[in-house]
Amino acid sequence: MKSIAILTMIATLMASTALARQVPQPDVWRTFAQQIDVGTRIIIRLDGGERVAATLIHADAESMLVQPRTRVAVPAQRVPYGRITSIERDHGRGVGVGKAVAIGVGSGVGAFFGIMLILMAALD
Amino acid sequence: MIHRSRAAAFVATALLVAGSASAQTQPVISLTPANPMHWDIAAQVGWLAARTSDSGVYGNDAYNVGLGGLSVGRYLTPHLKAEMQAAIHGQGRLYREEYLPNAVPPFRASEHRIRTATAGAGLFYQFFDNQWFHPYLGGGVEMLREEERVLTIGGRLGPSAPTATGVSYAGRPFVATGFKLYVTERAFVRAGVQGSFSSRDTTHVAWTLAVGADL
Repeated sequence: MKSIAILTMIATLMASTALARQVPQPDVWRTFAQQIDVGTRIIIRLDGGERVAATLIHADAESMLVQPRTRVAVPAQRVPYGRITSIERDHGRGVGVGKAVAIGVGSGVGAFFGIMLILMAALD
Repeated sequence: MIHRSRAAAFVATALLVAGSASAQTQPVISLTPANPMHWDIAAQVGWLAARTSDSGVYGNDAYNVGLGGLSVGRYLTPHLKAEMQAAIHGQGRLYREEYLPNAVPPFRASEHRIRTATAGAGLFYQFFDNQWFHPYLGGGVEMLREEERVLTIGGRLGPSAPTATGVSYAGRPFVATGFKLYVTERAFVRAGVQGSFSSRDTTHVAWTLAVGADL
């Protein structure tokens, strides 16, 4: 009986310590966003699961203003800190890995079809 | 009947995807441009591997030719596109031999010159939002026009028979996949593969490379 009481006390203490360590997420991202230089490329993950590459324009107390990096430009948009799951710097420089792979695949396919067409023309 | 059920299943899936996409709540960050493009127009070339519906006793029943075509698509949502496409194919040649039990010689050789064209419509789902690279999946139904000229060769002992020409039409489902790689905001290169089915087996597989633009 005594040992159960001790275990319960330890468990309660551990739980309260863990809770004390947690900082509300919006505060974390507000602090983080306000320390990032304007114009920095970032990747934002939202609570809905979306992952958006963007450029930071401004960070205030309630939200951050970002410019999503898209093919066709879209307006700058405000993102409340409460909707953010994570923010990280995007260290990609110039052509990203995905784009490089896409260009490589595209070039390869193009070369393949070009050679095929030349071969077919030559065989006819 | 199998093809109808396949086509119906595809259309139902596409409509479900479109419905669920439209039912989603407004995202925190919208990647859709203020004035999105509605049309996708492309010209394509490619390589067609075809298998004919009937084969001779001996000989080949498959051929490979070049193709050229056009497609016009209308975006129903940022991801879903309805598209019409048409293509003409080069002339394929097949050589066959038929066994004739009571004839002299007992074999008759023939050369089949086949030229086909297709026109179809389908639904295509394009992944990602407003990016430079978009994989896609799609399917639909196409009409095939097949013109076949048969030159019968009598062999060493017999005369050649006159040329016979026949034209046939057939409707059939197709599936397609590939990717679009944008080279500017609007212009793209598209590479893909499309397979269409007959009652027996896959009959046409087309590898295509297209250039086009969103308008």
